Parts: sequence; structure tokens; C-alpha cells
Amino acid sequence: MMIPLALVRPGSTVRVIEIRGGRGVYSKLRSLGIIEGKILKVISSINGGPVIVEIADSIGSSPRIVLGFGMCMKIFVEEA
Amino acid sequence: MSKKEGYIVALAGVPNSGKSSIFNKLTGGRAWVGNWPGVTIEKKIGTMRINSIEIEVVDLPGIYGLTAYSLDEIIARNFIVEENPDLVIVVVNATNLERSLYLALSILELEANTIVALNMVDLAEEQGIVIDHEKLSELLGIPVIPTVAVTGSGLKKLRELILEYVGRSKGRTNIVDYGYDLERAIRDVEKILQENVPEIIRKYPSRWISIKLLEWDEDVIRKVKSYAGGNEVIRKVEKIRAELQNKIDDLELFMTERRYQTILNIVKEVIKQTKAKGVTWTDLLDSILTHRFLGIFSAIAVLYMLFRFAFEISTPFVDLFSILINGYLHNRILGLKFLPSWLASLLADGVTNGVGTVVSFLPLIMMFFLGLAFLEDVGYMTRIAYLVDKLFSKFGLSGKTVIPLVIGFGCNVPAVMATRTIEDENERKTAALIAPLATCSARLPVYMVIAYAVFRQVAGAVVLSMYIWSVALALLVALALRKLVFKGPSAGFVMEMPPYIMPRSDIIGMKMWERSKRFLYKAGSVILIGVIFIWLLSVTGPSGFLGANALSSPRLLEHSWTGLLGKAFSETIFRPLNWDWRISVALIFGFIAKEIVVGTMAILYGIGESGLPAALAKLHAFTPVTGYAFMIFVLIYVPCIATIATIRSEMGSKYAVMAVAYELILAYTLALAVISFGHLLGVM
Ligand SMILES: Nc1nc2c(ncn2[C@@H]2O[C@H](COP(=O)(O)OP(=O)(O)OP(=O)(O)O)[C@@H](O)[C@H]2O)c(=O)[nH]1
Ligand SMILES: [Mg+2]
Repeated sequence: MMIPLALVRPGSTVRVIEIRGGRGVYSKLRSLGIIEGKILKVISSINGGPVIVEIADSIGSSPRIVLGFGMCMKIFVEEA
Repeated sequence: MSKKEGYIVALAGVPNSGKSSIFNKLTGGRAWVGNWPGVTIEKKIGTMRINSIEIEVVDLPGIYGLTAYSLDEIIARNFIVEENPDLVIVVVNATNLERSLYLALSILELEANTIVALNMVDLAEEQGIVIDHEKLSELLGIPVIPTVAVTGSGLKKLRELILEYVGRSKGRTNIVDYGYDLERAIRDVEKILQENVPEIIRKYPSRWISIKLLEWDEDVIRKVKSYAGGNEVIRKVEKIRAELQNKIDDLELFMTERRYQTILNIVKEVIKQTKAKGVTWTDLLDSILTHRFLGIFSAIAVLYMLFRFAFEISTPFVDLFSILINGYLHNRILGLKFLPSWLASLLADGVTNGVGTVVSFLPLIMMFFLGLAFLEDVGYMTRIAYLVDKLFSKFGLSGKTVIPLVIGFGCNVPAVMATRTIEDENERKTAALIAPLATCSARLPVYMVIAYAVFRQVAGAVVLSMYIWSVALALLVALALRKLVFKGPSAGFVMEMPPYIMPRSDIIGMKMWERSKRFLYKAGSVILIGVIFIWLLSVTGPSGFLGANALSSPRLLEHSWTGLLGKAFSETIFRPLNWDWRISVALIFGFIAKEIVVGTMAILYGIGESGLPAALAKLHAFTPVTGYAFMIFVLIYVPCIATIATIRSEMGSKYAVMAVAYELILAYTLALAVISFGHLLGVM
């Protein structure tokens, strides 16, 4: 089932299915390595606020990224 | 060899990869470093000397790719794409190879003459990541040198390579293979470019332009359109794209995936993970510091502790400085009988009291800067941004805005500049206009003096309340600006969060000293001149020279120029605020820089043996209510000329005027509100 990243509980690991939104948002996320198919681990989140994710399937250390609430409503993921 | 002079080498890389640290080591410069993405917001030029050859090195803001979103990124992108540096050093973060390589590939596609500094190998090793740099060099087709910028390891080798590679030209690379269909399309577009806009491919590589056009990069489209025949090219590319989209539905995604595939293939070959991913310090700290409930409490605790630390440690030193300067030095100068009385007064009552009182706060300011440097380097800034994002979004800002505000607690000038990293224009302008409300270190001595003069036991709490006002007002003004002037939806908030690192004492020390030096420099220049000027205006008046003892005789002083000027304000516009004329004078000159407020009060009230606060208390210069109103006024009204000049150069005169106007109106209104509130409670 596809849900926005904003609704994922901390600790879960999810796969990015679809990113909606304008070109700007889109290519910024891509250059940061958040693209369709990537596995993300949700580290922390604040209800109705930002989310910290880790790109879980990277080789080497996993960089952390903060995504604002609006952004997280545009990134659709499913349980991985 | 001498022809190597005049060469320009650029440092490019993802944010926080250590470009500025390498720059400092190469040039002996003092570029600002810190552990969050977006520290460098302007290109900085330095000179590297090697074997008596001089090469210019340019430190650039960080970028993730050659598409720029914010002002700082545009500076970096334009430099690499348009200025054609003779060598690009791509600083690659060894702990985060994938992201760094994405940029490295983009720069290679641009066919720039490139070498790689594989930085932070120490941190990578700590995490059990070992990178085969020779293999990496082979796969990328360019030299790769492992470095540790903070210790200087690998830097000697880097210098040698710079010397060897600078000025070489780089041929075509097909580092990323885009697959049969796209590669054919790229060739087609290259042919179209050659036929229609041959000039553009003399300036930029044709493969690069073709890739960017197929990706529909708005910047490159604009570039092509600016040439005669460009529109024709774009029409043809549109057709090719349409054809391609029959086979590949999302072209941009497909191209990004091809790049990441290339990166993955490289990374797989070069990384030897020797240890399994364990629990790191960053994991542990973040589980508390970014916890949804504990996080905000820890933030308050951390900031409060830093504040107390700066206070407690420095108080005895401030007292000591004050005794030495205002007591001992002042009396010694007055005791020098060979000085003419006017000169003794200038040196003792003017310079020593005026500048000395400001300088006596140096220990406090240094401790404050130490705390700030610690916050910046440990990696906590991005965590604060995360924690406040939800709150800030209610005021039309993203969490990122907190970074300029925190920097602003040090000085408002770099705070205004730091807003460049905010992508959304409306948010950025709002942030730049509220940055002056961040209560800078120059305002701290004013609060200290007033708080110790009238609030004594609760002085610390009263000073702390200024910081709360500062943030609260910044948010409220932001809300007003976002509703009335800079309307528009909030843009998304995305920010990389670096791991925590234990700050190095040499870097923290350097940063503390650089900031303190600026404070001392200001004391010795602007403040000194200001203070001499005020002394001059205080010992003279419409009737001429009033005598060197004017400063110790309130009656005489009232007839000086400063007396007349102060009264012109205190009896008119400042009348409802119940401030003495001397306070008006301090505020007028404080327009130049906030330190002058304390300096002026020191001259006009005179300082006894026990310092300015005691002198103010004895003279009953302030009541708690007028004192608090004064602190509020100093918090809000124009921080200094330099900040206004920065707003002007960053955004234009219109906004500089707007900043001054809102600050003056708000300062006056709130100071008046404090006074009225005091009246209401009957505690004048
Ligand atoms: N351990 C370690 N730390 C490093 C190394 N290089 C840089 N740092 C630290 O990493 C942080 C970032 O360094 P900067 O030089 O500011 O990075 P930058 O690439 O200029 O960053 P931006 O200007 O934000 O793009 C600082 O806290 C440095 O002290 C390294 O090789 N090893
Ligand atoms: Mg930098």
C-alpha cells in the first residue's frame, strides 16, 4: 500500500514508489539520492512536521536527510 | 614553469565535504568552516604558493549537481560552467561516496579538467569504510588523492598534482552510458547543435549541452535560445524528446537512474566495507536530540547551558578588566600632570572610559563566541533546524531559517548573507529582513550594563529574556512580512544532516579568535572614532570650549552639543519613554554600531571606581521599567550601519529602507508598550 512518507512511523524501512511535485523539488531530491526505488529508513519524525530519513541501501555510511512536512506528503512509499 | 602563473583552480564539491578546510590548508587562508551544509555562501579567492609559483585557488559554495536552486549554488555552478577554471578539484566526501560522485560525474560530463580529493578518509575509516582510491582513479579516468583536510594529510600530494595537472585540457568522456536509444538521441542533438548554433559548442562541450537539453534543463535551454538559431534547436529537441518518450516515459528519471547505476557500479568496485554498520555516536545522540519530545527539551537545555557557561566563566574576568581599565588606567592617565587638561580628559574620560568599557566585555564575548563555534562545529545546527521546522512553518518560514538567526546571535552581517542558502525567494527575503532581530553580540554589553544597574539579582534572567524576545519578534515580523509583502506558498524544506563530530580545538580556537579579532578591530576603529567624536561634542557647545571638566559637571554638560542634541530628542519624541537626554545621545550614535551605546553612556555618565552599572545605579539613570524599555529598544532598532549596508547590497536599497523603517517603528512602539505596562502596574 502506498502512503506518503509523512505518515510513516519512525523506525520503519520503506521503498520510494513515486515522487509528486514540481521539477525543482524533484531534481533536488534526486541529486540528494532520493529517487524511485530507493530504500529509506525513517529515523525520527515530528507529528505534522519534518522527518529525518536515512538512505538505507547505500554502500558505506548512510547519509541523513531532513525533509519538511510538505515534501514528505509528496513522496509516496510502501513498506519494504 | 612560470607559465603556470595566472592559473585558476576551483574547489567544487557537495556541501560540507571539506572544501573550505582544504582551501585553508592550500592557501593559508581563513575561510569559514562549520559542520552543516551551506557554510560557504560566496566564492573566496586565495593564493597557493608552490616552488615560487602562484596559483589562484577559489573556494566555492557546495552544490549537489550542476542544477542550482539557491543563490549560493548559482554562484558555484556559474563559476564552474562559465568561468572555465584551469583545474577543478572535486572534493569528494569519503563517508558518502554516492552523493559526491553524482556531482563528480556532472563535472566530468562538462569535460572540465578535473582531479579528485577524496576527503574525510579518517571519518570513513572510523566507520569501517575503506576506499580503493587507485581503482576509483582508474574508473573515473582522473587522479584521486585521499586527504584529511583537518590534519593536512595528503595535502602535499594534492599540491603536487595541482601543479602537474593545472591547465591541461580534458577530452570527451562518456563516463555515463545512457543506453542505445538515448545515446543515439544525444548524437542527433549534437549534430543539430553543430548545424544551427556552432558558436555554443565552441564554448561548452556539445555532448554536455545535448544531455542537458534532452533532460530539459531550463538553464541550458535559455542558454541555447540566446543564440541565433537556438529556437530552431529547441523545436527539434522537443521532437526528439517526444519520440524518445514513446519508449522511455520519464526521460529525466531514466537519465538519473543511469547515472546512479554508473555510480553504483563504481562504488561497488571501490568500497571495501570492513566492519558491519554498528551503532554510531550520531545514532545515539540523535535518538535523544531529535526525539519528538526529548529533542526540544534538550535543545533548550543545551542553549541554556551554553549561555550560563559563557556568563559564569567570564564574569570574574569582565570585572577584572573593568577595574584595570576604568579604575586603574583611567586614574593613571588623569594623574599624568604633564598632560594638558583637555588631553588628559580626552584620553581618560573619552577613550579609556568609552572604548575601555566596551573592551572590558571581551571575555564575555569570547566565551560567547566559543559556545557558538562549538554549536556550529559539533553538527547541532541542522538538528536545531529540524526541531524548529514545524513551529517556523506556522510563521511562513522553514526550519533552515534558524541557521541565519543563530549566526546572527554572533553578528548580523554574516546572518544576512547566510540567508542565501534559502531556495525560495520569498522566504529568503523575509529571512534577510528579520535577521537583524537576532540579538547580536554587540548588544550583549548594553543588556549587561542595564541589567546589572537595575535588576541585580535577576540580571541573568533579564538578559536571557532578550534572547526570547529576539526570536519571538523575528517570528512575528516574519509572519507579517509573509502575509503582507513576500506572499506565496512555503517551499519544501530539504537539508542534509551531517554526522556529529567532536570539534577540533584548533578550529574552534581559530573561529573564536577570528570573531573576537573583528570585535577588537571594531573597538579600535569605528568605536574609537565614535567615542572621540562624542567627547568632542561634549566638551564644546554653542558657546565654544566648555572646559575639560565639562564631563564631570552635569550643569556644564547640558550646554554642550551632545546636551542640546540629546534634549532635542528626550524632550520631544523620546519624552513618553522617560529617558534622560544622555540616553538619547547614546541611542543616536548607537545607530552606527551598538557598542557605541555603552561607550557613550560611559563618557556621559562617567564611571566611578566600580564600573558603569554601579554609576548608572547611583545616578538613578534608569528605573526597572525605563531600563527594560531601553533594552527592548536596543534589541529592535537598527543593529548597525554595516548590517543595513549588507541588506542593501544583497537585496537593494528598497529593502534596506524597509528594514530601517520597520525596526524603528517596532522599537519605539514596543518600548512605549513596556513603559505603559509599567504605568499600569504602577511600578515606575
Ligand atoms: N574528520 C575530518 N573532518 C573534516 C575533514 N575535512 C573537513 N572536516 C570538517 O567537516 C566540516 C565541514 O568542513 P568545511 O570545510 O566547512 O566544508 P565545506 O565543503 O566548505 O562546506 P560548505 O561550505 O558548507 O559547502 C568542518 O566541521 C570540518 O572541520 C576531514 O578530512 N576529516
Ligand atoms: Mg565551505
